[in-house]
Amino acid sequence: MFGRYDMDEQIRNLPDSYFELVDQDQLADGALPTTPIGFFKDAFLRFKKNKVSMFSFWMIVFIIILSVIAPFFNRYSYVQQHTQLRDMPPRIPVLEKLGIADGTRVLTNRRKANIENPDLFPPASVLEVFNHRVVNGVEVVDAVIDMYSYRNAKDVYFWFGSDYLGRDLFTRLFWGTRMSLLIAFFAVITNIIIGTVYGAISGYYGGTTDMLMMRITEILAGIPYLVVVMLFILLFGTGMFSIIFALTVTGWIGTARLVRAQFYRFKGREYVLAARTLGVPDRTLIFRHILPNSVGPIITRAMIAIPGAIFSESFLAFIGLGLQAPRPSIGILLSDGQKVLLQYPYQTLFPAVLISVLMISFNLFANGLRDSLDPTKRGEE
Amino acid sequence: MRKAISVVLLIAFVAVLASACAKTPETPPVVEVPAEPKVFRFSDTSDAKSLNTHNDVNTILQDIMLYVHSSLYRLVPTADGQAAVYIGDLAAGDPVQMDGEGYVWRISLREEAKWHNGEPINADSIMYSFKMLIDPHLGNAMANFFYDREIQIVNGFEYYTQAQEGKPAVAWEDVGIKKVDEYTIELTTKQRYRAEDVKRHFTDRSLFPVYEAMYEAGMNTSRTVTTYGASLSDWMGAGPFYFETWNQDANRVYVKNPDHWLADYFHFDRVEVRVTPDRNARVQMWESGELDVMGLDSVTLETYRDDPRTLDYIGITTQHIDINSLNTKNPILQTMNFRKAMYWAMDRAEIATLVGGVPAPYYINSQAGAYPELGITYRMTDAAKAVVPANNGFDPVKAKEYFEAALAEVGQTSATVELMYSDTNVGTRLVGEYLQQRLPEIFGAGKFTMTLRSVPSASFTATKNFKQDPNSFDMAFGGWGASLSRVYPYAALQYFRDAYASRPNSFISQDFDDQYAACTAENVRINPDLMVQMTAELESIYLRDVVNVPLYENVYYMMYAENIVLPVAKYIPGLGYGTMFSDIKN
Amino acid sequence: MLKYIVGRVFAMLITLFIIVTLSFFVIRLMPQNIFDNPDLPPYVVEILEKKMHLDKPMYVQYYYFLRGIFLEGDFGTSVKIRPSLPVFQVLKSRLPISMLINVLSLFISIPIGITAGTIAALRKNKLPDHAVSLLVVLFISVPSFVFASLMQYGLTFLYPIFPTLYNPSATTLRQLAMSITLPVVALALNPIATVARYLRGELIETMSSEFLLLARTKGLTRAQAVMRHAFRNSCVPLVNIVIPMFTGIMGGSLVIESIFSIPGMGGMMISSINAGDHPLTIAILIFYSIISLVTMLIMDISYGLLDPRIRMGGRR
Repeated sequence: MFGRYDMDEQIRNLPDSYFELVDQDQLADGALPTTPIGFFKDAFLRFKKNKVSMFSFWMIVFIIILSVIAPFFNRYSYVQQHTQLRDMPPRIPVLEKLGIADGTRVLTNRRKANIENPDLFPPASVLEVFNHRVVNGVEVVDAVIDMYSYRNAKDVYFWFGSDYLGRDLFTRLFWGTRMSLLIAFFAVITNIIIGTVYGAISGYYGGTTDMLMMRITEILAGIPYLVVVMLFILLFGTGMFSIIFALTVTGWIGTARLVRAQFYRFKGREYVLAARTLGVPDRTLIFRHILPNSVGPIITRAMIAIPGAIFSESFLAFIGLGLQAPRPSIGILLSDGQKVLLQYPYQTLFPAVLISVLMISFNLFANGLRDSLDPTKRGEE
Repeated sequence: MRKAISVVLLIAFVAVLASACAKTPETPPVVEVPAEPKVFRFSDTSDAKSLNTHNDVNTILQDIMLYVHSSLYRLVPTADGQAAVYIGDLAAGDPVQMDGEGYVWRISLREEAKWHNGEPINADSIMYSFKMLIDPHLGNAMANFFYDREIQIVNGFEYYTQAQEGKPAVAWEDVGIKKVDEYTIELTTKQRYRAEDVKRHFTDRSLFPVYEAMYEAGMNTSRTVTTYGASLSDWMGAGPFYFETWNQDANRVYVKNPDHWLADYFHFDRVEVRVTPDRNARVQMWESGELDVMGLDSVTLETYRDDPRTLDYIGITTQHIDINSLNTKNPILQTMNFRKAMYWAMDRAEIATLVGGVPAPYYINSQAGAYPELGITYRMTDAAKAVVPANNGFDPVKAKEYFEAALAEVGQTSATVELMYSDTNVGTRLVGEYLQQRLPEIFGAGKFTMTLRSVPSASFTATKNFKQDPNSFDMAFGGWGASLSRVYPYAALQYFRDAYASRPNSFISQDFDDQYAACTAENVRINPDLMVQMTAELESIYLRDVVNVPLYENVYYMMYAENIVLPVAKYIPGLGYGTMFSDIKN
Repeated sequence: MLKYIVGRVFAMLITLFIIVTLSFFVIRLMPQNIFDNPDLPPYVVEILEKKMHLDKPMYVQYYYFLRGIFLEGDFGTSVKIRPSLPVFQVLKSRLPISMLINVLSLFISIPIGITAGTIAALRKNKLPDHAVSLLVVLFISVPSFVFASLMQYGLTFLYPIFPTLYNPSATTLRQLAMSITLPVVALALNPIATVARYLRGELIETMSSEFLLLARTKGLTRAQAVMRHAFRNSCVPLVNIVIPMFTGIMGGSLVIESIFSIPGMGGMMISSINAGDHPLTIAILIFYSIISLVTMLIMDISYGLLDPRIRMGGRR
């Protein structure tokens, strides 16, 4: 290894007088007719051509913007409670005329006498009565009820319905999106940075270094992820930062493994050997020559990791270790929704649709990004 | 002879079971009975951790034991379904007073009583069980139920705690319970009691006998731990049902024991219990007819409250908030003004609607009795009504005044207080989030902030342990029910005395403790008028000092399938709707 | 190769030992007491603590702990979850059903995921690709507890094909299979999506490499070239995600188990951590670690088999 550098030194230190320009009079090379295009610019040009990816990119931007401004669209805040208007079904101004999101709900197992009692149910609120039957000698029916006129709130519109404390779910959903995205972004960025550097070093140097570094990841990965997260949160309490930290403790290992595997794949390639022969230092080899090969998989991984982080966060919410109340997150809304899935399915529907749209966008975006960042495709149309 | 017959019968029973399993593996094993077997199916949200009744504090064990085991006495509905009475189960009859005063009682045992394996249960079995329950080295968590529940037994506490440093040794012979002959035991109590008290005492799960051979076999070498009851093979019952299957956290199956001496009281041939933590699964099973009874919670209540099959009753638990007055980090918690502010700030009517409870500006529950013979509860008496403040103890103006005074007292301009709730308790989480918004409106925005802390239910009580760490919490929910309050209303407040070792409130009121002690005196207990008066006084001290902040009484809702015939005409305190005595009509 | 395997096994044992040590200290440092039941009188706690050596310094406790494991095969006694029962027995009673469900999910998810991913890659940007992508995104982004509840509602209540809950008293294979189908499928959705997503990405990348171009020029059809040449190559990094996937399944299992009322490890793990049943928690941790480590070992060895150019631990 030292020999190679010695040789470098000798070559560099040759006195200038040894050299003489061959053709001093005229430069045969013309200036390049086009402006040089850098790696990222090239990638951007190719990305722009991919319409689906562009669309998904704007979709993500749109949702992020929504998550910031949507809570101001109506007069509710995410904590404002309406204890008289709990668990109201969705009601959206224009759509209600079409019979979608019109604030009606089927109330099951009601005594017929009660449904017909105008003191309990104003006649205008009872839209349809069906499924007559007799239970324990009492006549029982199911009824479609306009919940908003039943609760005497005709001027109220909860676009996505309200929750168990009468909080507006539209506002809470986008607040939740904001929290979830924040958690996911921070956790994933930290994971990718740590994982990439760790994996690159381990994969490039191999041998004992690799062995030791991989033992460390093995120890961390050997302990089940959810247990680590639970212990972490038990130790530091619930809250946004402890969730982010908890997701980071073992979250980077996947990236590290991936990058390491990529390094094993590419470090023996001829072009790397060539670069090394030319005396390119390790750092440049790692980050300039080998790592770009991994950018595609890393980005794909990051894009999967974002829903993954939201996913893990929702598991934590499910077992009661989510964000502190009353702060919402998509995970908290989903796990609250699951608990009342049979009674109020819309409380699960909206968060589920939103998280799906978000993730479809992330995935398509990632696809385009990976294709355009692929160094082997540079210059391709 | 009887024993021989029962052994034969048991063998026959097992043989039928075994052959049913062996011959037709396609179908589940069913005991062949002439008529269609009556199978009763219900679901629990959690399961027992062990069947060792000496050492498990979970109340679910009581429900299990009532089916598969027998204690000295059992509460059964009367024939007309109007009341419930204690009858001898392992005991042959009522306890007999031996001294004419009520200190010494003799209980004779049923000679036909036997374990599920056919071995007889006699005075030795009972005595062994009690001795082990309060064994000073086993340290059983339920030990105090033996000597300090409905009745207090002489030297029980002293025997149990003798291993403590500085305590004199106590011989088992000095404990107030003795074997008189093969089928008779005698107990000596610290105070005078009535036969009813003695019978009620011996119905608790901790006093169901344990099976000596297995209890000993499970013992470790230092005799400090036994694995008795870890699974069905380490446990023996003697109840009206055989414990056929136990897959922990999944299901339990009980099969009728036709040889049981009280078998006529029970009509189910088979009882199947599913453990279903998930609400959706439970509702689906109910809707598809896989359950015969379902308990409702605040979510399912909305669907079924109006259903004619739904029955409700007010439980004996009052939900409250404990304020940790020992907390040194948050001085406002130490002030009496803050306690009062909290009391008056609670809009109990609203809170009760949120959770489907009954507003409780008081602590003593609606089941607490005063004149049981007349059916008059403590809450119905004038003395008790006089204690309760108007508007369910909600007065935002008063609350704000007290709060300002509390701020001034500690020299702060604003206060932040944390409220702790258990993650699995839907009701308290809801109330917590509600109060978080409501209280700043009452106390003045910017002056009061409430944060919430969710704690896993498994470690909730442990986190509240202010004795280990005075700063372990600011405020926390609590809900305690004392079944003894059905007879002695003051007992509903028993947990908040200094003398109660695991009390949840750090706040001590000397007046309160003194008054409680006065209530337990013999002359008060046997005089209902005096008892009501003293109890009302106790409750007014409780309210004056805000020992804790009462919120609402829990209301429980149950749905029974249409073909279930309940043995009672109405809810009976102590017995409930008598589910296990029901019949199934086809 | 044999030397390599022996080396890896040896390394795994060292790792395991470190994990055992780590989990012991981490769990013991948790802000919970083993005996925090307020109903227990203090002197009883003292007796119990003495019995479990909790009155001694941590390193002495560690010594007793190790001695128990290596000399007596004794991992301790559960305190709160199954009072007085040796943790080994507790695990033994909970393990089979959890492992059955987890391993089944893994086994069905890998082939399905690979198939879906390959189809998507071969028909890139066409209808099958979009269909697969849509499902993948749904499965990845919507938590399994939502799917589990939906499936339970649809397939056990609306159309009662399967039993609502797991049947612990199943006497026939058919009964057992019917009652674990839904939980297994619910658990497998996410892994299927993960594998499909990953393989699609890998295949598409490999498809643009020179050796595939060579294969095409040699006259192979696109599908043939991909199946013969690209496929094996792409499976190598797949190995990387199988391990976290398996631990992910085990994590997801705890939620699914509660929905289908399965008496497995998941629910017990949560309650054990929450309740502060330290001996049991440590045992569960060690147990899960052993599984992860063995999976990792198998994967590492298969690395070498799948792609002989890769010899882990070789010099650069």
